[in-house]
Amino acid sequence: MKSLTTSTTINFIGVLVAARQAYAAKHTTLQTRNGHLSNKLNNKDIDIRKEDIEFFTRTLQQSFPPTPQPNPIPTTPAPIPTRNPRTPNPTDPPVPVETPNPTDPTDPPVGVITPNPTDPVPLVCGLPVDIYESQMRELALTITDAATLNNQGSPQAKALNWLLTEDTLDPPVCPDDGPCGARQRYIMASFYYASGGGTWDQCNAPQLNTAGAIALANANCDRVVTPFPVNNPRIGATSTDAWLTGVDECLWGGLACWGTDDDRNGKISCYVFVHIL
Amino acid sequence: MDQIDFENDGLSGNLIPEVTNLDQLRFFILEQGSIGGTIPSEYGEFDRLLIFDLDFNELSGSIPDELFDMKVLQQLDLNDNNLDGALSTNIGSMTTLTFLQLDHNNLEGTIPTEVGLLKSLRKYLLVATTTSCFLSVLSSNKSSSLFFLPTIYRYCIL
Repeated sequence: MKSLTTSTTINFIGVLVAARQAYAAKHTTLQTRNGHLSNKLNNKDIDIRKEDIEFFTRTLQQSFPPTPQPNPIPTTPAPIPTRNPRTPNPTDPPVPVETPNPTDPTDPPVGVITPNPTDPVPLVCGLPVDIYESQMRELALTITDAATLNNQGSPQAKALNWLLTEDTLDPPVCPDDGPCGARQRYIMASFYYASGGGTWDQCNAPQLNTAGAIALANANCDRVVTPFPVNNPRIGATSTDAWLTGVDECLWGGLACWGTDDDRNGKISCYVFVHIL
Repeated sequence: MDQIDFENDGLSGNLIPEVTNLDQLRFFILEQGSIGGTIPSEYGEFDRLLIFDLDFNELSGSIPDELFDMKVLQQLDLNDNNLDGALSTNIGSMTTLTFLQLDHNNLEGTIPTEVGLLKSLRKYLLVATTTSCFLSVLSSNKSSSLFFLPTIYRYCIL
């Protein structure tokens, strides 16, 4: 008997009496079955004996289970199962536990974020945006050394950033365009930033990508190339579009390209060297 | 890309080596600007360049030896810059050159005898027109006289 003391038992004397009466009744019943009657059974002067105490105690234990007592010895709490494999910080707020429904086959595996199949995945040149940007950067690294390209203030880094985030050419240049696609546009944008583009007398890029700003920039671009007496088909020799506008770079003022080819979705491109001045 | 052509449009900054990847480029003309820095040695890799014209800018440093590796160059205009150093003997390999202007720079030394190998040269201007220097302009269909040029004229040290 660990949780009840004798004094506690005395405090429950009323209960003991009731229990004793119940015991006596039970005993009477047994004796009656056996044909014997005890005088004490009707005696109201209750005599509590050791066996009675033990009986009462057992009865009370069954009626009043022991109350949990504070344990002075600290114990380690069991870990809380979560979806996050990261070791929880003791100061972290409680993590709500999500219990997957084992009967629900649509529950995703733990740790996997399932995109909404109805959400459109943005693609550029048929590639997810992050892959596209990675391949464009790899392309730039075949032209420019890594130290220069990693310098965010360099003309080359500005050119790549412009290609990836601001260029409005539609369709855009793609990493696999060939020598006159993304490569050429990247080089010419680098040239623009390296030679003080924005402070030229003419043909500076528009301040904004709005129709009005582009029209204004184009109106301030009257530069055509020197009309050398070449006899190859030329593109852009008389074009006066402002630089970094969303047209083929061959049309930017001051540039001219070898004729056209049709292997790049109709875009103007360079191609084999055919004629010499 | 076939032609990059700017004249007096306020260009500044520096030349970048990336343009040598424009392997079809024939005309690279950036006249009368404020372009500074040095001429990238990579420019010798232009395989098809016909005209290289950067006169009246602020280029400095020496003319890289590799520049004379351009295979089909016909016109080299670098006059009126701040170029210094000596003219490389490699200039003799530019056998397609017809027009050469290097005057009004800070070039030093003598004209290399290899200039005499420029059989196609029809017009050249190598020295400056200052009070102490002699203007050398020669237009001729005959290139034989060029063999005597190195012993007659010297660069001006400006």
